[in-house]
Amino acid sequence: MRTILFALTSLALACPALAADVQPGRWQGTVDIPGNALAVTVDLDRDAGGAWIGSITMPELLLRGAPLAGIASTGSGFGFTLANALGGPGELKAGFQGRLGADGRLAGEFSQAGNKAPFSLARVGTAAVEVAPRSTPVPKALEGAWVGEYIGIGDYARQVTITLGNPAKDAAHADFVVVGKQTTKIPVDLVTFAEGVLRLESSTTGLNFEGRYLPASGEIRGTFEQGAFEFALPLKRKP
Amino acid sequence: MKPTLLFTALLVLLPLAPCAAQATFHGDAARTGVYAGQGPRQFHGVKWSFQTGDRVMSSPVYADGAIHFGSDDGNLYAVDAKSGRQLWKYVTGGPVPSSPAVADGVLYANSYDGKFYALNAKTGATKWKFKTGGERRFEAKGIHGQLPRTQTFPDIYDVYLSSPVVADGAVYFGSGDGHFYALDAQTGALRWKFVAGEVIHSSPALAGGVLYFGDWAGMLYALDAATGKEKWRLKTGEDKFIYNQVGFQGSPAVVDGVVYVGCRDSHLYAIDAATGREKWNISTGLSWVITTPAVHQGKVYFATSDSRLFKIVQASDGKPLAEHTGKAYYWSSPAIAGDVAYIGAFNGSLEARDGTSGELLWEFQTDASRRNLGWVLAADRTVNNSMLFRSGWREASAVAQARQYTIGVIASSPLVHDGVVYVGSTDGNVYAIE
Repeated sequence: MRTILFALTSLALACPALAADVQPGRWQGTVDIPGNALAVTVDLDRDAGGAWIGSITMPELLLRGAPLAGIASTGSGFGFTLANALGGPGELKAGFQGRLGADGRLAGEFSQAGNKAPFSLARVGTAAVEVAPRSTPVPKALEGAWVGEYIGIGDYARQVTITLGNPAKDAAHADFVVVGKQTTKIPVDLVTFAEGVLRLESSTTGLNFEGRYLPASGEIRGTFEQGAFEFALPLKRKP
Repeated sequence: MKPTLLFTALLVLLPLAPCAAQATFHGDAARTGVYAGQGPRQFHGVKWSFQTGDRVMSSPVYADGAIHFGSDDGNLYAVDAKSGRQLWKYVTGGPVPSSPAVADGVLYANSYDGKFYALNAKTGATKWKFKTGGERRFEAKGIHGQLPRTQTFPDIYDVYLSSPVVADGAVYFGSGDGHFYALDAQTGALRWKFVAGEVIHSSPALAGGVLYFGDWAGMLYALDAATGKEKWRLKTGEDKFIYNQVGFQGSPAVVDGVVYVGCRDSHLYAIDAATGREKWNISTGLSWVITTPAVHQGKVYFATSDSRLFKIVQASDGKPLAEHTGKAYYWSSPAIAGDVAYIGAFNGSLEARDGTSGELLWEFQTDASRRNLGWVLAADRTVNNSMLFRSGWREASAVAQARQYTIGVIASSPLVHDGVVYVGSTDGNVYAIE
């Protein structure tokens, strides 16, 4: 019996084709965390280049169309992580790792903050991936370091340095550092510039910056956004 | 000093001792957090647990063989300390998230129903009741960032009530109606009341005939216990944006003429008890100090909320002696028994720490914490905020906070008596741990 089991296991491990059978589409099911079965909808598709893209909806966790990352076949399995939800900066990424069964269901393990729970998804239709907005380039004139100060929650001043660059031709990058009672490097996952307005978004922290570039005065007149709060944050070129 | 003189001196002093033989929150009238005898350095097991009908934020007190505490199920309980058997219970009209005080056979307790109770501690029979102007939680527009910003919300973290202290035939406590009361301990008649600026849920500390307490406006008061006359007041931090960094939730401890008190403005203060002048303070960044400090042998023990720090500092100047990062928020106040400090944590653990180094000796985890329904905790037993606080709109924060309590949070402060640690939990139990 043990020999047969070993042979079957070996056969299964040598069949990555199982994982390749995961098809683009809308996959629905549940994650059974202790005391609660969470409804899950995962939309998986391929972009024009053939790479996987995806988004996830988990209503009980107030997640709708949250972007997926790292969608890939891994050995005999198939997995993905949540790009910027259910795990803050420096924390473990939440993710799904499973395999396609003979019944056509994608089943396996959901992990979040080191906890693990079984999930099972069935393909129910075509994918409707919510494509996350993409960063745009910023004008050459905005490249480099900008500094400013705002008075926010707690009624004390914080010094801000935003450093902008265009490392890729089609997307800008920003470093966003706030120094108050402590130094915080805010992870920025979206940088856009349109209609003269620069916008930086950090979806994991909910902290954003939005400001209008004023070429005549050489400043960016903006606000630091923290949830429903907005604090004036004018930026000038770092001397 | 010759023994005869000492004896004479004691005879003179004893009748003046205002707070003798009193069971009250945090060990004594001065709220030092120090208990007689040695507490367990090793975990041997749960001696008994007693299930109530709702969370137990109240901290137990010991008197005459019984453990007394309140529960948010609205009852006051007396439980046999040895067996955990219920001796009596008394129904109030609201949650009781405060500690009773027991003196001269009378139990005094404060309830959310806006009434203050005096009961026979042996039987639970009513002696008298006093009606305050009514309890309420601290509230503010957009508090803690709750949305919409223009809406006034009750503070979901304002979970305790003021616990009374008894002295000189009077019982003292603060109220959500913004008054501080002194009642005749025998009759319940009002002796005096003092108008503070805001809700008072801090428990008064009494030393040298002076009462010390804080309110939710961030004001610390010193009142003459006999007359209610204000001796001094001290204003601490403000937070006009989200009212997150303001107010006293915990209580002062007074030792050797110094008031030690933690504040939600993220400081621990050492204040001259006579003048109200600050001697030193410790900033904790943006982390509340809810714990009532314990003060023992020249050391101050306290802990922080969000930054999860357990700290021991020098009482004279606040210099750090030990600091450890725990797993979860500390709201429970440390209790010192012998060379061990005990404190509850928000992940459903009671921690025993070495009184000198602060190192963890052992911890007890509630069953609810082990079950971890809804993944309130991460695998490393820190609080899993990503799964809890997903929205600030409307009641979402309150729902998240309620979910957190399902894992048997220990926000009650431990009592140590006869080598046993007694503490309440949001799973509704009081545990006797040895």
